[in-house]
Amino acid sequence: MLEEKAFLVTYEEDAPDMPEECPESVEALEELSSASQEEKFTFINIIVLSIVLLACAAYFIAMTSSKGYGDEGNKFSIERLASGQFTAEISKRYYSTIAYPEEIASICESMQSFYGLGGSKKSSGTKDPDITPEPDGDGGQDVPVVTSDGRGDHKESEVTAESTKVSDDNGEQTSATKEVQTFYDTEFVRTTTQSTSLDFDPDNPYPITSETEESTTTTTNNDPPDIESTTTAERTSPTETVSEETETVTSEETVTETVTESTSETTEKTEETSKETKKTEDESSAKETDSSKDESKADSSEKDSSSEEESSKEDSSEADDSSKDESSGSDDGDDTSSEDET
Amino acid sequence: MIYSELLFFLGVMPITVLMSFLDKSTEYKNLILVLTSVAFVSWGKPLWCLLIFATVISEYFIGLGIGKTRINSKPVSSLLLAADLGINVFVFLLLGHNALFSQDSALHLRAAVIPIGAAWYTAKGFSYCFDVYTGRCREEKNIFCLLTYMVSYHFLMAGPVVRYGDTEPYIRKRTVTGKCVNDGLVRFIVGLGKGVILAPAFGRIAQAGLEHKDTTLAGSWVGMFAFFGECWFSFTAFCDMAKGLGLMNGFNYEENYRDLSVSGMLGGLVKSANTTLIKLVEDFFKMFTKGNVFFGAVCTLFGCVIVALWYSISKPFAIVGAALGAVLMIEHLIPEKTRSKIPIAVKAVYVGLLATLIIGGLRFTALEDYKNWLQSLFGVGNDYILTKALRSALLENLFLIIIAFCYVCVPVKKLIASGIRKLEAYSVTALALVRVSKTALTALLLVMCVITLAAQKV
Repeated sequence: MLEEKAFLVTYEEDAPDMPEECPESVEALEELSSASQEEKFTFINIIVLSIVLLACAAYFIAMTSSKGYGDEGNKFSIERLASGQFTAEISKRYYSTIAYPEEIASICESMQSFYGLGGSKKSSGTKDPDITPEPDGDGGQDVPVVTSDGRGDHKESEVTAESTKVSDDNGEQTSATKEVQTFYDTEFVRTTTQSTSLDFDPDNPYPITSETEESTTTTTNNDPPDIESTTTAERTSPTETVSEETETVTSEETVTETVTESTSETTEKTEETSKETKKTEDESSAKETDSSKDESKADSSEKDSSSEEESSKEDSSEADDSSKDESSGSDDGDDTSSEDET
Repeated sequence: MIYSELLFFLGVMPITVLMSFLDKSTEYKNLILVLTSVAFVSWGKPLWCLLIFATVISEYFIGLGIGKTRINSKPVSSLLLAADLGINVFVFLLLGHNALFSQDSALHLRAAVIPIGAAWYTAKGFSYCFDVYTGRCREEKNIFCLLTYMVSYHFLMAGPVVRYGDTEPYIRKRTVTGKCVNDGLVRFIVGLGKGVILAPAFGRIAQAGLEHKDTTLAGSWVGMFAFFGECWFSFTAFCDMAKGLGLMNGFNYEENYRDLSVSGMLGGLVKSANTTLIKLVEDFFKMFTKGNVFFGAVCTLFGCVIVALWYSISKPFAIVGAALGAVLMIEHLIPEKTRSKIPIAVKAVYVGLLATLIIGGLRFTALEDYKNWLQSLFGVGNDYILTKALRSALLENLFLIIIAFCYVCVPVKKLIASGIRKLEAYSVTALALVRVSKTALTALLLVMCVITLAAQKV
């Protein structure tokens, strides 16, 4: 203790004279402090922004996986690299595997509502030169994005389906459906074979002898299908009704998941014909009725889709009507001008 | 690939910046920069489009030749400079405006192989040889340094025409600090926000105002100003992003645009955008004018047409360039003292009106459309004043318009900046509050840009 006290005394005695605080030193301290603060906030800023940026980058990279495509991945080769296919496919995969697309689109829409008053339902992006908004309409805000090819921004997945159906003398029907879908220059082929045996119906003494049907359907999600079908039926009796029924089945089998909506019109037509012929048709067998039940289920589902289409058509027709009304209003000039113009 | 692409700023950019930190040597950083730039330019296109970089070799040898002959034999160096100009014009036309060549021509390339930024690339290439010719910089003997200057992606797309003399110190030796990366990142995000959010908003307003089959008075005025806003924000967005990328890679070069001002009349307004290119053209014509006022005015006319055609080789651009050149030529002939005496309000009306009438011509491809718009601008042939489309477009983007106005209007911008500075100086807590708010807003802007770009892709 004594030693410590002695040391303190010695220290105090040897201590140099401290200068009094001067304005320069205060200024220097303030500058040092502010510089330190600046660096601190710069550090916080860079950390936060880097984390956000890298988190976004990691999110998008994590969602880009070759496994999701069910193919062998983007193969690297010098030829593919030189031709630009390799890098182009990286881009394609990167953008086509953005997760939660609907959520992102809805977030974007709700984000746009904060850009101003009234909110916007229009999809973001640059202007489309093909769109000319109607005068006094809703300003091109609700119009769909239409590109010069008329298809819009939506990426179509093209499906080509070919079906072959053969009925033999015993009434056994064998149908084979071959669907071809192309993903990134890779063709995926799915072949479905289905056989149905018909029991002998005593009320229908004239069974089908042979029937061959081939149909090729190429369609996209939005376009009506270009259907080229060739039907060759040789019948020994006037029981065309059965063949019509089976034809319906075939066309339904042809419909793939992506084609369902667009082919609904065709199936409706075949359905109508089957209904007409059903009046004269005798119930041939239990299996057939079972199959017709299945058909009816399928038909009902298609009806739903077709009804949806109809409703959408109605909506669009209503929209057309309203736009017509608006345009007529604008032509008249008196009704709308008081409300619309300032 | 462009700067505002998700794959670029969430993939290429972070990788480049992180990789450049792995080694302190400038040679390593240059190598990373060159490799990334090769990927940037050839992305999604055949690799042989990189043949564009073959012009680096021609620039190198021509530069050496000019350097050796520029003092002793001026005609030879002038001839070499003319040859370099010819090569760059050819590359510019071949890669930047390949549509000019007919499909039967051997020079007609598929659009997919045309690299982006050919106009900037060739302007930069010519500027090197020109600077060697004028003695602004020395000829480069290390081809790798010249390669780094020519192909660096951060001023390849739409950034400034950086002169070699200004970049050389950074190519030789540069250090990337945390502050550089921070400033660059903030600048990049601000540019991204301009390009992804503001410019399209003005595009929508311009579309609603100008693309009606029935013209309206408000539509003609507001639509055209929105078109100017769209162009200005698109251009400055790329410049900001380029500047930010440069900062993140350790480069600090001059701004390519200035704040809008009417004090320099129409000439000042025109020169406030793409200042580096205009400076290059001015320097080039100074060789011929040698201080003569009349020749200077004539060269101004030619310079305007050349710059307009540099943007786009089309009739509207040529006409607008010639009209602007004519006005600037007259302004050039008016003495500086007389110009400075004109009241600022008169200048504002003069600049606003002439800029609208002349630059507005860029919006239209047909003369008839321009005539209709011009008539509508002065109330001729208008049945209505404002359409619903324009009203809703304005209301739906109202906050963005206010933000853009605060950003563009210099007095308001200065007022806000001084207010923020005062608040920061008030106390440490206020400073912290302001800085944290800035960080949060920047991060929010980044997320908004990412969502907007992702929504465009889905």
